[in-house]
Amino acid sequence: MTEDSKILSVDGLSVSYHGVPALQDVSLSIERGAITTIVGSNGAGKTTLMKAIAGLLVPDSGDVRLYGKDINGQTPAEMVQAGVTLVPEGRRLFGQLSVRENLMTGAYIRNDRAAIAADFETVLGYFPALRDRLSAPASALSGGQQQMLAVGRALMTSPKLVMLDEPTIGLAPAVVDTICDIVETISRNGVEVLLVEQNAHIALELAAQAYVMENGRIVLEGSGKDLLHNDLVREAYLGL
Amino acid sequence: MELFVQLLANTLQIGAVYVLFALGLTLIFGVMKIVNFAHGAFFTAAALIVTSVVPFATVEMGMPLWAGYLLSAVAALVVVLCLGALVYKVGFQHVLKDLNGSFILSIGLLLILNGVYLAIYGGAPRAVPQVVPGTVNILGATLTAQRLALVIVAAIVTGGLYLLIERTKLGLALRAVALDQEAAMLQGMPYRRVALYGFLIGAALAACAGVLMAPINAVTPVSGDEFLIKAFIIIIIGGLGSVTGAIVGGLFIAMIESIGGYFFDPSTATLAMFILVIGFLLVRPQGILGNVE
Repeated sequence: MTEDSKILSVDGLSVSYHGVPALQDVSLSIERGAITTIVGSNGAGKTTLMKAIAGLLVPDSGDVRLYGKDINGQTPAEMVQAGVTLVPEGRRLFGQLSVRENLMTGAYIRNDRAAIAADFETVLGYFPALRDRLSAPASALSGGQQQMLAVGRALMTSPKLVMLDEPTIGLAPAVVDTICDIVETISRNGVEVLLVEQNAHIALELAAQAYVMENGRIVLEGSGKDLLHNDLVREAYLGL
Repeated sequence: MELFVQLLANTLQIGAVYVLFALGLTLIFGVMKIVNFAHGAFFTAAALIVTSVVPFATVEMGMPLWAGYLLSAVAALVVVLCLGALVYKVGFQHVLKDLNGSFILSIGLLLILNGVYLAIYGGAPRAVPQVVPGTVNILGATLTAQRLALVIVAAIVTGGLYLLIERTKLGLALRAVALDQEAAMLQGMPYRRVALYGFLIGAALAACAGVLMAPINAVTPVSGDEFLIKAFIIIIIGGLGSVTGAIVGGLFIAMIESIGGYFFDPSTATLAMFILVIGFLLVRPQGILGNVE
């Protein structure tokens, strides 16, 4: 593991809500070209961790580094500029805006029209179902299409790292497969992926590197394959 | 037919100012989630500046009336934008999304600004000569050319705002922030800067209304405040935060006022407005074009 293969490293991060600790001394790193996942039950602190990395929460202590550069205390807008985009839990689309406008909100920080148009086509290539619905309000889409739009919107920011918070929750199995395929495609095309999932099975199948969180701490880490066969993980998260 | 056209003309000339005023208020609410009770002070500042720049430009500098009026319009816009930026930096940016804080801040600001205007200009109504003299006859209805000009300029400004909101990147950011501020930030939109722009556009709209009304009604240090209650009624009926709602609501209220005022009397029309707003709050609190959250 060399320094420059690290995309993002989190070191000793602690976050609390009104004095109640939500994250305690969390450290992890994301390697180039590998899907990284964080699994854990509800309330383990996965979403808090994502929000802290995205700049929505101010940590009490700890370091977040992107390509070795300290990015602590940056605003969400600055994080997007730096190349880190979060697809938040529950998708958080702009329901009244059209599909096209939702995608264009992702391109807000960019000015190169040709590159934006090219990425727009790439996104529609990933999600052909969106092409026929470009003028429809986002709220009129099905749950699966909304998740596709949320991922597409994030890709429109031209990210180096995409963080996906519970992207498959509440989706039909066929749609889950589509989302998983896209996550792998994105990763192959050179965008790093940090995936948070309640569906540990899916996450561990996809991920090269995996972390298990409990009560605001990382309790286990290893390759996705190793953790799939880890007794604790099998019992607690895979129901085996 | 003649009566119909006359009432329509009245509706448009009353409604034009309501729409500009309510648009600013609803835009600021949408982006910052605050209610600006001092919004009328922007209107008043612009109108007062017109009443002092026009005589100065025409008498002291010997400019023709129209040029003096245009100069006063530019001066009013510049001063109101500076005033808006100042009160945003000193006050409003600290109470974003804080209804109680913004209520206290804007009421206090209103009292201070009214006091300042009174100290500078005194309480006597100040008038500006008509810039566009004469009357116009349209299908048998008469209205002064000055009021026709007001309607046309207000329509152009409203159309411009609509294009800004619907077609530009800033407009997209304003709409996205109004819908979901956190999600907008996650797309890289700088929330505070977008909020400032929204606030300044709102202030500029109130200033436009003030500049347009100055040659029509005499100006006092509280001229803008009388629009506030009606603007609230308009955005409740049209839907809080909705641009189209403010336009529809503004024209609707103006229609009630002009038709009610003609067939009954102005106080009946005012009564009708309040009954209407109570009805809306009971039956459809999100307004005509608002969204259920």
